[in-house]
Amino acid sequence: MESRIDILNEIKALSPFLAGIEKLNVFTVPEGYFNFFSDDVLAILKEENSNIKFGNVIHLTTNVPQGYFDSLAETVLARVKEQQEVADLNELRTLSPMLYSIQNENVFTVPQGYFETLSDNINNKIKPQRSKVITIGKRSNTFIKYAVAAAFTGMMALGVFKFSGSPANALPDYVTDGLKSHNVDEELLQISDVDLIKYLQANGENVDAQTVANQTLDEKDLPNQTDYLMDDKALDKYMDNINTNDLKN
Amino acid sequence: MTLHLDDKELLSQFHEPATKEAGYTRIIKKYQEKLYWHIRRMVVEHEDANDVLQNMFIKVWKGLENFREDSQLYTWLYRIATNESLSFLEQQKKRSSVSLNDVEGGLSNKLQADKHFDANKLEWKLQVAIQQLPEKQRVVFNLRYYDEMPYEKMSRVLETSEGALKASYHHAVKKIEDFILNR
Repeated sequence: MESRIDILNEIKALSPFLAGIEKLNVFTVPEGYFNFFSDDVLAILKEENSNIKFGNVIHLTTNVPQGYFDSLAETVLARVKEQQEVADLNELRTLSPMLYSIQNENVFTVPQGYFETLSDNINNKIKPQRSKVITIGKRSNTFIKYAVAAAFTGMMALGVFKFSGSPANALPDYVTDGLKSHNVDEELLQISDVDLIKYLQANGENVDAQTVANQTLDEKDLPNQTDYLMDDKALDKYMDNINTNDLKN
Repeated sequence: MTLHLDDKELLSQFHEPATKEAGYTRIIKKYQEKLYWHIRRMVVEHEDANDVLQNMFIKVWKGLENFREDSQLYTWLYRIATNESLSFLEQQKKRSSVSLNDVEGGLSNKLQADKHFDANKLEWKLQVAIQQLPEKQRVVFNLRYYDEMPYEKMSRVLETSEGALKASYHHAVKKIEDFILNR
């Protein structure tokens, strides 16, 4: 392999004049050019667009306006949108010149300031309301209240059941024959005490408040406090589930 | 000061996905100045040299994947730089629809348009004389005179026989001497 000396000797032999000229570099480059060159090339590669032909090379450090690439995506999207809008209008113009001439004019109005306050109004409506505070007393007192209420309601329910809830044919003919309407109070007023006593004796019923209370005040069958809080129909459901046959026995 | 690694190490870095970018950057940093000056002497103006250099390194990125490690990176890079420079000059010719002589005259004009140009200084006269050479002879002269490249290497870069290169260089030297001394 030739050495540097060989090459110098060659030029000396060929042209002593040229060999005597000092090899000065007459060209200059912008300051820092070589420091950023590799970054520029990598940036171009990362962009990987088609601007890598002669004359179209992007000089990232010199020729691109500041922030050009930051806003490039938005600029392109805006242009695409603009072109889409024009295309839509052209489509409408082709389909209906009359509709196109109207130009989407809105004929409706809204109260002044409607949109300014809309979000606040909606927010106010969807804000969670403060829950009602329910004070729960001592269990023993509450239990008695519920027990009394249950007993009373049970008596009422039993009465209604006996006089109107049961089939008509369960009543003796002398009772049912007189029932011309469904107004129970009126019909009851028309029944004599003697007939009522006869009816009760015939059915062997001995129902009084104490009996009802005894049957219903079984603590473990009663709804508990939580059931009442969770469901205001809890008592009704309990009453519906009472086995009336048990009451009879 | 940048620590230049062996070409083999640089290529190994490039072929590893984790160090690919770093390896490529190091290859650029190692060769950018030599290649820039080689290109600049051919196309004269900095902006053109920058375009050619960027394009050549973009091609290098794409070509390095398949680069055969048995051939020298240095030789390969010089070949690409030379071909890119010659392609650039060819395109300029086509674009301006002028003859080869006019392009060479255009390069001399570009030289003389340089703000540092001084017609009385020998180094500037030498540059003007070099621009009078045919393109391929100019490449041979620059590689031998400035880059001090052995014919063997040059033969691989330009894919031309050493004998042809030697003859070309001798002709070039004589022409330049004649141009400077007799004009």
